[in-house]
Amino acid sequence: MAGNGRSAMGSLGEDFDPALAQARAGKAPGFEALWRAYAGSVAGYLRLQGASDPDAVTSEVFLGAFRGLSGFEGNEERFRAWLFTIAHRRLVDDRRFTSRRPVTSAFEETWVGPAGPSAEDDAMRQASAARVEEQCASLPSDQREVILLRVVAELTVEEVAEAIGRSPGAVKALQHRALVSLRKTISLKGVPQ
Amino acid sequence: MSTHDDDGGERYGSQMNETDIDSLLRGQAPGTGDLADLAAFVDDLHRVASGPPPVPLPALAEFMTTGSSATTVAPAAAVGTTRWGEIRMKASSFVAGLSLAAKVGLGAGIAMAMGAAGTTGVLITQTASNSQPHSEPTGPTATLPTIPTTTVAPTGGHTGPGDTTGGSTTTTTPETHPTTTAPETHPTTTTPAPQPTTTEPKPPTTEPTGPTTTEAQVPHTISITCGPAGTTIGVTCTWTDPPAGATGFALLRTTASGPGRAPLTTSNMATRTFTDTSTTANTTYGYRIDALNPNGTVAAASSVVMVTTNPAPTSHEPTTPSTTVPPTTHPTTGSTTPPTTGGTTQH
Repeated sequence: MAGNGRSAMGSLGEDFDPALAQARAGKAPGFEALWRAYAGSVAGYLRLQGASDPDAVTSEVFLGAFRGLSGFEGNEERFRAWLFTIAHRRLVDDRRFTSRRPVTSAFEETWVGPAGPSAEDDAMRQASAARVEEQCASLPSDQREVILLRVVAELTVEEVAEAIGRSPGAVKALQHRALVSLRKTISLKGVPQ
Repeated sequence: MSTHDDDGGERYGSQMNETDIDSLLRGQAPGTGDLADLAAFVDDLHRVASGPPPVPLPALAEFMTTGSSATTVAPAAAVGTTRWGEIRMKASSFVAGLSLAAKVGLGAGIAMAMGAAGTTGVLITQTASNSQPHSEPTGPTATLPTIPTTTVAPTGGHTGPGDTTGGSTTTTTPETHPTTTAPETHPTTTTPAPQPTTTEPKPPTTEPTGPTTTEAQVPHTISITCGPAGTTIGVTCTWTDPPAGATGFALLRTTASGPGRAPLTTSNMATRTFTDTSTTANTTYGYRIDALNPNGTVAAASSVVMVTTNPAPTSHEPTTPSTTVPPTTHPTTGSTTPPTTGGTTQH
């Protein structure tokens, strides 16, 4: 339901510092906690950005992050921004690679058994996902990048600017244009409720 | 902020200011009013992008378990295997005895040296890279530490160029999972003999030394077998029992056409087989079965099994190769019975 805000994406809250300390010490529970908190959203971000294999790139992102943990200093918000900056850069590499060699191999979910949501919920979720993916795909890549980093990664304008190497003003302009474009698309096609 | 836009945004964006936008993107916009449509989109976007974590690649799984990168980012893979994020290259040919064939800059910023291992394999050695397309972010962080030089990959035998994009098929079957086998009807499954590794450096970890292996570090407690569905262009997959505690399955399919979602059907827990009829003739697909925990996380994942579908059926089969008009009888014995178009009736 729109309008009620939302809890922070995969936020560990007060568990973040202990998890980070464990991960820095090479302890599996720390890695696991960070992975579980953020990997889903990183994969979602990469998927909506059209990465050739979002799951594989997600692993690359975390492997890079985990190997660089010793040099990281900051709180959970900074960690999230750092992580998605890595994801953004891996995505750039991914596009560079696939542009040279377009053959890709991506998993598509063919079915999920009863462990998942009900069939009705699953159908609604899939329809919603398809609609969102289509709407995102309709945006120019720079606008889509900004919207996804703001919404999915929950970064601030300044953090997005740092991640993609643009000025905050440019980020604001891009997000405004993106929303205008989205609003036009939604207005023309409607939003199923 | 201007509310004008090159693509006619005034009509749609005139009511948005920076405060509106910030609230909207934080999911704090009201669900009613002028921005309700965008608020719904933002909520949908957040929900769609917030799925469960995927299965980590073997190298990451190992790192998370051991806290070190004893092996490479790219797990061992078959010669010719095209697997994004693992080995982003393929060898179409190599020369036996060549100690260093090429250095390849990869998209992930990892350099790999490729050379021949013995006479039937390719040794892939990961080295620290000085030519990464991107360093890791600066600021409060550090660049990635140097990746230790690591030897990977026993590659088992190699029966051909193994170009998966050319319609051939590579089956990747972990040695640690002996029950995962490709069907016998698999067109070009590599069936290497175990290769001695005496002439090449040993991997520093427990990399398997036998047949082609790609996901040795993944806890494979479930396996999948796939093959062409009879003479149709479909693919039938069967899989083993899941580990204790799992309550569902997810069947994943790879294609060469890029990302996408194509839900086909649903299945219940008792099902151990599925025929994918949405396939295209003479096309290679990869299948993986995931066993799911009650909370939707993945309890175990099989290795990927590649299958090439049958060619599209034809209206008739060719018979004798030397005639353009088939004889009416004895088509496989080389009979000299004249073709029917010759005006002769077979008795």
